[in-house]
Amino acid sequence: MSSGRGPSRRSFLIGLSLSLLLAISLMPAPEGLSLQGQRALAIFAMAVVLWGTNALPLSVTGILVMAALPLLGVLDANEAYALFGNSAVFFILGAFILAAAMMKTGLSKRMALILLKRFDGSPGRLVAGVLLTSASMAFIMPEHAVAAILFPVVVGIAESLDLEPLKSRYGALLFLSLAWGAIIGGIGTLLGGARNPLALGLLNQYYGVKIGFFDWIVAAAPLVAVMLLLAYGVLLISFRIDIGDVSSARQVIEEELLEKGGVTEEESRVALIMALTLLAWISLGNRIGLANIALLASVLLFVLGVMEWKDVEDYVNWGVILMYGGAISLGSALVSTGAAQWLAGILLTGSELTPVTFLVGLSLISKLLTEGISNVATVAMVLPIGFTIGSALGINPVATVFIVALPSGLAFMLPMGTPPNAIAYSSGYYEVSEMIKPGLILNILSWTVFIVMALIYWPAIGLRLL
Amino acid sequence: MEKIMVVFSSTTMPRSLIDHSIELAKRKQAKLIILDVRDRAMSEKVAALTENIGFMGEKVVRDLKKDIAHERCDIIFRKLSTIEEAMKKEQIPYEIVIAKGPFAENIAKVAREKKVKTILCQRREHLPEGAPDFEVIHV
Repeated sequence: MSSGRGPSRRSFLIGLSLSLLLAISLMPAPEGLSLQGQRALAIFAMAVVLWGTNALPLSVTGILVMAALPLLGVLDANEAYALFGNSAVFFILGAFILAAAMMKTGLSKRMALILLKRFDGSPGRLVAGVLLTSASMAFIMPEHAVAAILFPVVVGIAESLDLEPLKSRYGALLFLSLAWGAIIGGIGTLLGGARNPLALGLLNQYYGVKIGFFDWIVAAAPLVAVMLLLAYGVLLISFRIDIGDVSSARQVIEEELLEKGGVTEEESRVALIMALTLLAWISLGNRIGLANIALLASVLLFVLGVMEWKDVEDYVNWGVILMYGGAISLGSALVSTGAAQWLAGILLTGSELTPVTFLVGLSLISKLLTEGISNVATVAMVLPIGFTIGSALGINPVATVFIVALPSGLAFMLPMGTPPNAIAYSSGYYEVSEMIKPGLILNILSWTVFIVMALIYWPAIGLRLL
Repeated sequence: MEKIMVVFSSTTMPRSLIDHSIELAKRKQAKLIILDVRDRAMSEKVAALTENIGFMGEKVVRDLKKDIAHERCDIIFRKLSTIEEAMKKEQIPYEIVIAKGPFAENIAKVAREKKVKTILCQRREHLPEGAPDFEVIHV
């Protein structure tokens, strides 16, 4: 955040990305790679630098990619812009409007408070309550929104318990539970993290294959359940409880609920629409399409007078759509020009890659990258290459989606790696150094559990690697 | 009497900095100037991350920024109370200065005004031109 360093670093990174674009575009085409493929790779290299470093907002890089594809003759302009209309883009549009309605009416906060109220009693139970509430909320709305909603609630609890920042271990426990709960819950469904629908969109674009709403839950559920237990254990071991009584927390939660008053008509409508939408996604998603259901549900919110367009603008940053459009167009260009296949050939030459080493390696790369860069960017960068290498090895592309998307959602170690971690860290209850060790332990555990789940559980539910 | 200045911001307030400044002031029998710069670096940074990476809308980001800024002010207030108690206990003369705005500029300005020779802070910032009339120790 240094005022002097920021702009120069940004200019350097933008310059670097453009230099890469020019250098790769202008060098003699390697054998086996078409001119369009070479230029697609050049755009990919530029996007990797920009998405990886956030030198430009993710969405602006998305726009740049969409403009560069026709400009460099990689794709026809109509073809490039048409990819922006992928169903995953419209699914996320509808899902974000639904989440906006829950936030605007206060339904999400009420749900969080009701869930939290069930876990008071002992300090350990309250920590478990924050962890589980955060995770449960992230099953139905973006994890970043969950962290933002729960942050003032947990601040209120910490203040009522008179916890002293940087001294109170219990304060650190509460805020890390908030962040890690949201992160773990975020991989559980297609609604918790934007990367999940993006992975689905790329799968659909490449192979015309879809993953059902419920199928995703079934594939990810054991990892979520085990990780919640492990996170609880790691938290309690790393930050010993230094408080005996948490009864005042209940008072804070009750006061917040009292202040909210009774359930409003608007909240009831949103709750009903949300419940029906979830049912429709699970039971009719494969037939009608997840995006269609999401769009119809969002229209219903306007028809019933719950939402106005201004509300949507208040709660949703439409940059998400631009980022998605750019990522899907770029992924498609890499495949249609043969660039991804060429790159996979280079990476596979002389390697002894087997399906298991593919699983281990690709999930590890996703895991490592997501600690440093945004998880959506990780999926956008790793999945296209993963598909092509996987294809050469005969890997089931549905498995490849999970191999990249699930580990890339689990960043526990660095405070600025992901918004939930950043929000929790801003509480001031712990220092960076105190988060790194338990975060690293949880990273190793989550990766191990993921590998075991992929090798043992997935075949049992019919999700095969090959 | 020599003056030592210790600088906190709403972004950083490490325990080690407090301990170090008390020890140094005691050893040098110096007066401690405690500068609290109420910057918005932390809330701005988290808000930007939530907006650009989390794709949250303007209202969510604005509310979050407000919540974080409020929380940081509360923390710095508690921290200052702790330092004051320690100063009184150790009988070290001290003065608290509260400033708002950019971190580096405020350090240079207050240091000149108070004729400080040594500055203790955690964040590594480039001080403005003409500022090196004092020693900066990063803890």
